[in-house]
Amino acid sequence: MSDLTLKVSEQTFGEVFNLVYPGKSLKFKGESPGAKDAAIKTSETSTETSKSKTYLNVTVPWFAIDAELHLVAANGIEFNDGNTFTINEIDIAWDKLILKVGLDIPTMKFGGFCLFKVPKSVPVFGGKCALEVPPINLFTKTPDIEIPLDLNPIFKFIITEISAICSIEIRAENEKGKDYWAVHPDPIAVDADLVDIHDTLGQAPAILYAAVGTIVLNFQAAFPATWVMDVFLGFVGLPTMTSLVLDVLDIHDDIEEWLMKALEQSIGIDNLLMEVIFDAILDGDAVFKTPKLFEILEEKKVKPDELGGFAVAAPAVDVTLPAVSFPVIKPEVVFDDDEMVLTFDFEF
Amino acid sequence: MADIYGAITDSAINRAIKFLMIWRPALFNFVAPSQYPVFDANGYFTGIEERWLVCGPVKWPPGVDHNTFPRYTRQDPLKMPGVVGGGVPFCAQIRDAAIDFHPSNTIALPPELNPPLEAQRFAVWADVSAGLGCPPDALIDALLDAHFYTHAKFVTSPDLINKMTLDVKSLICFSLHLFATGHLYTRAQSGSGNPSVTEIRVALNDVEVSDIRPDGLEEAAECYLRMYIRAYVLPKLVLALEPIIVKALGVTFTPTLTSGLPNNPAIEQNELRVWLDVDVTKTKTSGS
Repeated sequence: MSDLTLKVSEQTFGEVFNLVYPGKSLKFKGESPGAKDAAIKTSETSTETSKSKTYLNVTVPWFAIDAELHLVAANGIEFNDGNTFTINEIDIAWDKLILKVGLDIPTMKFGGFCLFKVPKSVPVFGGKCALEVPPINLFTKTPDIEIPLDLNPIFKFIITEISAICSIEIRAENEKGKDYWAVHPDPIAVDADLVDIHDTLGQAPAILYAAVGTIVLNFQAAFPATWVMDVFLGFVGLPTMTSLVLDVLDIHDDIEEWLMKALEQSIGIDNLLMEVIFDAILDGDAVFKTPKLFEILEEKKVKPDELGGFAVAAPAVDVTLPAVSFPVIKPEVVFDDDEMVLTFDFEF
Repeated sequence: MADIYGAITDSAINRAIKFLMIWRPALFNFVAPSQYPVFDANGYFTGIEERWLVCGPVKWPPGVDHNTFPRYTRQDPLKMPGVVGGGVPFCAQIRDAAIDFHPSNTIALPPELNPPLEAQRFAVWADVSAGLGCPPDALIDALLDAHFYTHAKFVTSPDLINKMTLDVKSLICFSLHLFATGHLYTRAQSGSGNPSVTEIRVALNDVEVSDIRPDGLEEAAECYLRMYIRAYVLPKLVLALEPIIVKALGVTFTPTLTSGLPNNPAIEQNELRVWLDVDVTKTKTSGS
């Protein structure tokens, strides 16, 4: 029989867990480099004599994420057989979620051709070019398009399901010079799913279009003249630059679906969430601590005239009685029924 | 189900007692030292020295400075009618002690306490050595004469004689075995305390001092011991269930005894057991 036995119920364990763990800001980043040499067809035109298809050879858009979250609460902690416990429904709160979408289109030469030829029948100028599209180099930057999407307004509509299975371990720790036995949850597996984005207020499209619009303005400034840009758009068969960007990024009607796909498949946010939460639990604080050296009587100053039994005459000044402590040994923790059982022995 | 359960064995407590006896001997050894005058080479009084007389030797714990580590707690000498001087030196030493939780397997209760130990009860045993100073006749005569002795060599004033504990060089020692049984009970904090806070208290059931004769003297000694324990010892053995701040976790536990249990706290299976319901909150820090 151990000298000291402590049992903690599932509910109390959960309450302590939710006080110790949440609140810490967890930052993480992720990136999807994209693939090269994907050809995206932007238009197909045909005339009486020929058909032509225009392609923009672009890399599949790359995505990057800059995020910050914190644990809010763990609901439904269950102790399992085999000395593990399951944390069901870990609630998280997003403090920052910026999704960056980028396109790096290979530089292409456009223009240097005659847009309008004077008919040959016109004297003097017949057959000459009345309107020439000046040659320009397009898509010279790297990346050419980078759209930062601050998803802050739709945080509450991002639904996640996160759960974890942890074992319990006792670690020897030192804090501020004092040794402790500390009980830590040790994650075995974390499951994180970005389930859905329910943007019931419809802010996602507005965010996206506003961001794209800003980028497009900058992009348009690269063209020598608006009419040249219009010619280019006619060439690729799209009405506006915004349409071009959205088409290249494969953004269509369902913005939420596009966001989900970008976050899940391109970024792999589920894996990032699993990693960050796994690390948060692994590196987190203990749910229980006890000093390795248990003090039963604290250090005390007493007047020497209250005491005796010194080897020589009583000291003239106050005497300090040292603290009386004994080691706490053999710490063990197991789960039994619905309780976590901690046992210790004292070394006297 | 209770939120938290705690249990400690009687063997752990007994090892703790023995540990404390080594490391804080002054808690278990009480001495009223004898005193004697000191004179210089010319016979002039220079001061008072003390003899810390005990019945059983008390060692210093390992590693402490013998010059500054005390082994005894000072007591006032015994004063009785007819005793000249400042009082009678004595000592009282708890040489060994133990506690036994139901079912009893450590302490053999004497017949007067109706063994076996009842359910939900604990037994306490202590081996006590006590000693009393008995001054020789010559000292008594000298002290009686000193009231009228005015030679400056011996005393600075006649009053000093009355203040000095009798100068003896040994004690008349004897040993006793003390037994007691008791149980735990709970009540709301009273007086200036918070009535919503529950206190766990110790109640004394019976006391037995072995081997004192005649029986009337034993009974009187037990009566005095019972009074001393109830008036002086038990009021200090109170555990109030107040909020507990666990600094290492930054949380505060506010406990209450779990209701609906046949005994809570309980003394059973050689353990002291308690079941608590707790309210867990984040500890408020200053400025928050």
